[in-house]
Amino acid sequence: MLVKLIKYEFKDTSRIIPFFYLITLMFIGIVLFATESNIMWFRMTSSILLLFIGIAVSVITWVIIVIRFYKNLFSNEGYLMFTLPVKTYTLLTSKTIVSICWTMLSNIIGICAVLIGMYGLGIAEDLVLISEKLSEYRLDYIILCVIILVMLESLYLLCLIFFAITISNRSSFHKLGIAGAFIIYIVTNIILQIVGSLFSIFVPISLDLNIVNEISISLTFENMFGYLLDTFRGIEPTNVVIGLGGVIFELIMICVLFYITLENMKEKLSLK
Amino acid sequence: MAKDFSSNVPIYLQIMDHVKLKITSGAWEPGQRLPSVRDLAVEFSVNPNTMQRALVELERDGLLYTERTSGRFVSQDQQKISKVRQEMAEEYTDNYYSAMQKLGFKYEEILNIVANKFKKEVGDK
Amino acid sequence: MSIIIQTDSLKKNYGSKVVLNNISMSIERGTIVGLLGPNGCGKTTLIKIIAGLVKDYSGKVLIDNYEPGEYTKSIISYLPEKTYLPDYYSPKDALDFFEDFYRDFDRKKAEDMLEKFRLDPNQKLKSMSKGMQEKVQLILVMSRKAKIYLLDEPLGGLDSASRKAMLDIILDNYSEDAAVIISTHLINDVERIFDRVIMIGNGSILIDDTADGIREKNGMSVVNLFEEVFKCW
Repeated sequence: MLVKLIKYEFKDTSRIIPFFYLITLMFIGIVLFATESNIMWFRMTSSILLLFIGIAVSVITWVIIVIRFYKNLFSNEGYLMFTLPVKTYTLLTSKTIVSICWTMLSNIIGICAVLIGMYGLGIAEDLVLISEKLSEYRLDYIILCVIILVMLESLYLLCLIFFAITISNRSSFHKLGIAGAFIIYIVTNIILQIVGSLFSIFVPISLDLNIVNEISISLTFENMFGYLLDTFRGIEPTNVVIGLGGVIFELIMICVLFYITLENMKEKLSLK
Repeated sequence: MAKDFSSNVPIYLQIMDHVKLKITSGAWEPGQRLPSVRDLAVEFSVNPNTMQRALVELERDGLLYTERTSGRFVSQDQQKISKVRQEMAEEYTDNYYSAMQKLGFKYEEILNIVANKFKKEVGDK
Repeated sequence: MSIIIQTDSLKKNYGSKVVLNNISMSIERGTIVGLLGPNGCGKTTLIKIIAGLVKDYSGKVLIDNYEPGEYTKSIISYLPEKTYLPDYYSPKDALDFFEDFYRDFDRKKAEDMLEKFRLDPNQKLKSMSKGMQEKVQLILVMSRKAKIYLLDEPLGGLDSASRKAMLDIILDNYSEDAAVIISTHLINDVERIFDRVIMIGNGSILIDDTADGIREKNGMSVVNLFEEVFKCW
């Protein structure tokens, strides 16, 4: 059943999302062509547009996924989906898997678009310099980490909005309507950001950046608080400490939010 | 082809009347096999359980019988059928007589009206 | 006749509003039940709870001895009052979907019915009239060999000839194993096919009797009794 649900989920979302990929690819083609042609204004304009499009792809994908989630489960179509002989867990998982796929694909295409946009603007050489510098210090895995963090953040935002939409469907929140989902999303986001920041500062797992002699990064079991205190006092830092607690928190919250979303779908469903 | 049933009276009773008519008028012949309960229900546009109830009652009255493997049949008991026909005739007559009385007609007048009707029917032939 | 749906002291509130108040009833296989009541009186909520779309109720609901869940959804064929198919679907898309998810779906039967009602299987639903959309949904629901058919206003947007045709389909689908629950306003047309009638008002069961029983005891049709019962509402 999971496979069937995934199949239909892809089928129905493929009606819209790839359309934006097409636009992005078109613009990538335009920028590449513009760069060859060397017409300055054309090259600049199209590259800047491409930068925006690169970011827009991820945003639009997120919006489409969110609208689809709401429409397919909590509007009229919900009457169809929730009477299918499948477990609620299967329903939620199929949507999550497909959403993750589209999100990752959009992120990749978005990043490519941004990179090509930068290339069009002529900033590409600087990027190449930075990456060479990084490999000199054997830190090129940082790029990979950045990409993973971006994916994590996307996944986190997805879980958060799924959570908000599902909670806003509870009987007690019916009065709020669609606005309820937004409100819950914003409120939960703010609360979790605050808690996440506290985790970053106080959880004793951090990255220690040594920037004095050479650039090296190591994992330490100190928390960020000391470093921040020093900075406030105006003491020159020898090392930069970046707390990883926030990332750990996000990982935990993804599981927690998923679980709460599932439980609410199972036990507190109240379709209008 | 739904039969016109009034909803004010139990439907199973109306079905029974209807079937009795079919049998006594000869539209359904003695020994004739009935369609299935479901088919009859669809034909009459009524609930199959209601149809079943009506048929069971008619069985009890002796107008139908069931042979376990072959189905339901119209009774072959001519005497029985005649008797029911007679009962129905009396009922119709009673109803007619009461209705005419309500209109204020007396016995002789009613007799005249019926006789005239009869003459007219025969005359037309 | 065995019981296939049973509720026990079923209660449901929306905030302070009591929508279902201590509903206890049982429905047997092989019966056609009319669920009647004015709008907003709880009958749609009751149907949604049985269908598994409302989960936060109190009391007990047993369907074939199971609580609403994956199994009960597989034996219930539910027709909601609203159009629940995506509007960019065509009848053919809907047939594919139903065939994929419901093992008891009879595709041939659905195709025959679509043809009988002269509905184009390739025409998108959004370009169909409301009446046509409702017919498509009813055909899909009745093409399943389910143990329970939950029909919420199945005759709403239909003209009288189509209504007759639909009633025939419902009767034709009758099986001693299955229960059919019909919630409707158009009592006139439909009352002759009810075995039982349950009238719900203000969240409580006001009448629960056989259709012929109602006629015998009250000397009037179900629709007339309904008007009597609800005249001051």
